[in-house]
Amino acid sequence: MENLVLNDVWGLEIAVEMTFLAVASFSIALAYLSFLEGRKRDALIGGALATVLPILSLIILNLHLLKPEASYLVFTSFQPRSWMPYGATGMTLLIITSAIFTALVKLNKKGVATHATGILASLAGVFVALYTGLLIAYERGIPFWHCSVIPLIALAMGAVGGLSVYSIIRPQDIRITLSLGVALLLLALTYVIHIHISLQGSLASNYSAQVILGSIAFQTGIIATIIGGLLSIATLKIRSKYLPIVIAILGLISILTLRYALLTSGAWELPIL
Amino acid sequence: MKPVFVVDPSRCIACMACVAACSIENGVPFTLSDSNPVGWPLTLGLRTWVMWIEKEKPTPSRFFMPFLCLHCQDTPCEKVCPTGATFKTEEGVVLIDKSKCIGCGYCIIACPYGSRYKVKRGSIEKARREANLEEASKKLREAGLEDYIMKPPVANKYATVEQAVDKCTLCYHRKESGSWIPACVEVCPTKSRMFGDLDNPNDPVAKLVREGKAKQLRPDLKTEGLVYYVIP
Repeated sequence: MENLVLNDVWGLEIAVEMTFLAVASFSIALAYLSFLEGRKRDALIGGALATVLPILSLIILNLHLLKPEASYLVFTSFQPRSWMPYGATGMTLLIITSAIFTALVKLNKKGVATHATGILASLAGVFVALYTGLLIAYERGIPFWHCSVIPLIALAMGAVGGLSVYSIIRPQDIRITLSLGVALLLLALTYVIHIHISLQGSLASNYSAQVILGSIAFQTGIIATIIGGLLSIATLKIRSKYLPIVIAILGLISILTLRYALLTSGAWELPIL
Repeated sequence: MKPVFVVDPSRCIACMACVAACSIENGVPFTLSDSNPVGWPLTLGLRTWVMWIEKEKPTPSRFFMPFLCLHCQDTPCEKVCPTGATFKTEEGVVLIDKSKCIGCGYCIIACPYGSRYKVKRGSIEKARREANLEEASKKLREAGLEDYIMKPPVANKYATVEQAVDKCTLCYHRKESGSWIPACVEVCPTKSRMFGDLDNPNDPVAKLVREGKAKQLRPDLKTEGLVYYVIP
């Protein structure tokens, strides 16, 4: 159908930007949990990642803009009906609170301020993960994205991103590996549900679903997700230092490729007589 | 005034005078576009275009569909704009304040009609260079045909500029200067493009809408645009 046009406005760079946000989002929540458990090194790594990755995301986002020098308008002309100003605020809050939290942990401060910034940063992180889904689910132009499952997929991607980082930092912790496995299987499940819904939806969403099923990015991502999920169950029987790292790498590959597939398979059904 | 734009595809002969008039009026270099017989502003990089639609059944046929921004009243692009660059005038015309547009592309994504496109840095200059305008102007001058030299676009704050998203404005700047008829309507030789006032009970264009002869595209999306089509 010639009136079904695939999105090429947001592509790989936005997929990378959103993946960085996904990794940062739950990394800070896990950094705070590590702090509560007295694991300073782990808390510092998660905190640093939650500071640096959103900064990189903002840089990528700015490079993508036609007029990066005017990006401050997102804040000064705050438009409450658009998700983008909320996302930019969430990212900024995540950067600031994560940086403060990391500094306080580094300075061995264990008081109210550390807990407050840790909780605030975690909340900002979860919001930022959710935001990457809300941003595209809100608009009506591309029916494949205009679906309530999309924010859940984004949340699952955030969980996979953060848990993958901690699976690399702490491969010996079976709780993290199993949680990562659950998150991966949840991601696969929500993604498959979304494709199933889309196949039964409008012409454009059905077309997008067929495009995504044939895309190498989706196939790579979904295979990585399922293998990672199943391998995490295998860690109950097989104790290996490397297996959690392999699962984590599969997790990181899956969130990037699945995000990219989601963005590039979105199609408009443009009007034609 | 409540503007209304009616397109009668059965009258269109695809002469493209509308596209040329729009390009000249608003400074959209024609060579900026990705020219193709089938496309929307999004896919072509033009504010308005005429699509060639060919059908095999029941008998082989071809007709032409002029296309432009539908100026939705329930406006998806305005809702998602993070800086308020996209706004609606009191008449309901959807415009872009180019100084506020940061070019994030969210409005392009949100538009269900493919009416918006990005104008990247350097693209207008490149398009003008490729069109050899200077050389053409020189030769026309040498031949004593100064009147045929391409004129610069009509100065207006909604004209096409680099580093911003672009779309049809219904030539809103003409309203500000007194008489308001979009350039594409003015030049259309077959009256396939018509412009009127819904508030005027005697307006023949508005009558087409009132009598239900002209309808909106994709009414299922409930965007309630100012542009209607006479659908056979």
